[in-house]
Amino acid sequence: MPSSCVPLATESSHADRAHSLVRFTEIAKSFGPVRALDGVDLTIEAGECLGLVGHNGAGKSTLINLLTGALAPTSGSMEVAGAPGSVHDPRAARALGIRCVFQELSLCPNLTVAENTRLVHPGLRGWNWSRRAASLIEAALDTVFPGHRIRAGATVASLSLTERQMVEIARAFTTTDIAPRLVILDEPTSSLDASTASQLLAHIGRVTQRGCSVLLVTHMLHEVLESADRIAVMSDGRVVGCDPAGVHDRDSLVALMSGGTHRASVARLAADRRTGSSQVLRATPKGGEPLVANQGEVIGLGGLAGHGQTEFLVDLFSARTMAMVAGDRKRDGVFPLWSIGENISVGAYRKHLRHGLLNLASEEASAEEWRGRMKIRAPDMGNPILSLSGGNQQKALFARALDSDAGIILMDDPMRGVDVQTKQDVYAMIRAQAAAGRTFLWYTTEMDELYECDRVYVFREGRIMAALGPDEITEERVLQASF
Amino acid sequence: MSEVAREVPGLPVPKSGARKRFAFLLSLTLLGLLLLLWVILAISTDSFATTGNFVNLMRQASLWTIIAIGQTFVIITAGIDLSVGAVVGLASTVVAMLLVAHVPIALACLITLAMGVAIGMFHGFAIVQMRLPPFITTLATLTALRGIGLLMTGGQTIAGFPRSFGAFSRGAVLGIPNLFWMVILVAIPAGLLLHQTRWGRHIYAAGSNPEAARLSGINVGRTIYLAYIISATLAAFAGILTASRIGIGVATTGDGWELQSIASSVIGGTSLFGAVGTVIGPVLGAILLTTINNGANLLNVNPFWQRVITGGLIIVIVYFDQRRRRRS
Repeated sequence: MPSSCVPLATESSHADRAHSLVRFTEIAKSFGPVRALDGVDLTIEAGECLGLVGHNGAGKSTLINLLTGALAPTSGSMEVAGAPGSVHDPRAARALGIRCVFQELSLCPNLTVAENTRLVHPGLRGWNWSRRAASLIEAALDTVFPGHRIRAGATVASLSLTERQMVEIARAFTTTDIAPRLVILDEPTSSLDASTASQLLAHIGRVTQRGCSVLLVTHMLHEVLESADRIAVMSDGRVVGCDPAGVHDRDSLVALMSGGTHRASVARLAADRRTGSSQVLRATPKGGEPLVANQGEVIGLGGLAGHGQTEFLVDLFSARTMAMVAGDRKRDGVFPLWSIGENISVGAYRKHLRHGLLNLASEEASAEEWRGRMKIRAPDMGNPILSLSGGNQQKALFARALDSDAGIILMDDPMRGVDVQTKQDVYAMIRAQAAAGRTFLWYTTEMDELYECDRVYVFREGRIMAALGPDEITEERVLQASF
Repeated sequence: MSEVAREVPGLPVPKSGARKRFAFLLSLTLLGLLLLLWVILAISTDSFATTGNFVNLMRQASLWTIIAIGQTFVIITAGIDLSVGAVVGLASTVVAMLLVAHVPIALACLITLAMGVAIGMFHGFAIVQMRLPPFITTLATLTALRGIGLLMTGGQTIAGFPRSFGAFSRGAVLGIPNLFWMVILVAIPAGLLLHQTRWGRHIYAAGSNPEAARLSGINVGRTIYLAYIISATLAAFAGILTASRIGIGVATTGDGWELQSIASSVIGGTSLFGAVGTVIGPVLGAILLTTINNGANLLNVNPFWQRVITGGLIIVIVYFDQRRRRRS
């Protein structure tokens, strides 16, 4: 079946527009033997919000890279703003008004917010440019995230991940010489909490009204269902469906993405199974209520993003008894020059020692085993870890933690940017490992993941505000304690 | 195959083990370059391909190789040890003073090595506990240790060693100079440590991503201590061998050797950004540098050119290292 996402004139609400802003025809992109895009037809109309969903590895990143001029297509034709020809480099993309907020944040941490704004606005020059850059970004932040409390003079390194992402998003909507015509948002809410995320979605509504297009790439299906005019679903380098958002619900999207396999929600283990298991951890963050974990429990840490959950886990971490799954892969997780296998075995060298020396064959065998268990999509575990997509890198980091002999696994919002199917696999693995006696402390910003936990502690401003038992974990209870 | 490969998005698939293969290719290239130089020098000079010259070359290369191996451990942790030359000088002074005071040779050597361990521990302390940058820490000890050596000797040379101490560096076993046996004695355990043990992996991890290393359960501080202790101890060892070779203790011995060791390490493929390096690399790098010096002497090239050639070689190698990084 041809992969097509060109709205028929009779069906489209945008049929009156003469030109689509972006028109991809039969676009293919290969990297050596790998076909990342396999004949994609896609249009983005002026003033629409197009949602783009799909697995990690479905081709979304490649599609974005074509739009931003970072890559050129192998074949097919691309038309932007009525002008045929590909966007041959990032500068050309910028001149056409294409802006992109990347999933891996792209701000320079050593510069201030204002200076980072200047970087993308060469027009801000001459006397007093820094004041002008500051007021530009502050105005954008005020518009997108009212009540944000970010100073333009602050160094990016001093901001939390959430704040950085807010700056990155706001920066994409600033205008000096060229007004944005298409803003690409790649997992924009992955580090945002519920309230800032809804501010962003509201802003998307406003800018599309004014004729600017938005490409919203996300794993948060409810967001595309709420905000997008149309939703394109990608799978294996093709667009497998593209319909007005109204015809979809969560289940139909998941079904399209995963080829029809959709799980029923995992039943929580009954609380009485936990009685009699021994307490393995007791810690009191910032003098609030204590957190208690028993062996074999999955403990959720909830609350809004950036309320001390990460700091609590990092402080709690002790190498002897615990393993950590980092949330900020680049900073805390990946050894960029190492192979996938080496990245997994780093927490468990003891297992591979023969006469005091590392046995490379044993290490490789273990890597192979994890490839199967975690379904890591790599032809060879000796490949560099950076050859994997973000979600698969995250799987390798999970494998690292599970491969260690640590009894307690700390997880720092590890599912950011991970696709639906992988999440289900990992949830199942966490369940199995907990049943085998491991304890999990799981900070997550997603309500769905808190449902996977036995008990939940809700954080606010570094303190535990509520401890919810198995029957008390509801969205209302969590939100109540969060605000 | 293609079904699996298709899942890898966005990026070209790097070939398996690209990093290790690059290290292997670089080693082969260096080895080829070295053999080429040897052939050229053997043809163009009468004296290069003589036993005497070759033994001399291997002796000189041995000393640089030993400190370059230590330096490599430090550079892999994304640090730098500028003090190795000064440690060589101080160690040669200390061992000389002990020997002149009739301390038994073995004990004198042990005490000197222990001093190397202590210097390495101090570096570790300054970098890990006091959080000083490695560059500053070792720059400070570079000048301070030289000063201590000069204070101890009053700037005088120390002579009058037992005969057997000096004989060691002139001797040979199975036709290989004793000094080169010392390289083998150092390089094989160092290679095993770096490439075959978890401590070695910890060193790479600390240089690659210290926060990820810490969160993977690696004691990064202890790893950094280990690297600087290895470097300073090997420098002290090279100091003892130097004293044996030149037959006197001079506080200014090893002047500029820190740069030779860094150059050898970098030419051998160690990345100054950390996390990349092997043990064979600095061995080949040091022999190559020594050959260039030796050949330049034999060809009556102005010795100042040797410095220019070394500098040029570093730029070429680091340029290729950078290109490789940008590609990957």
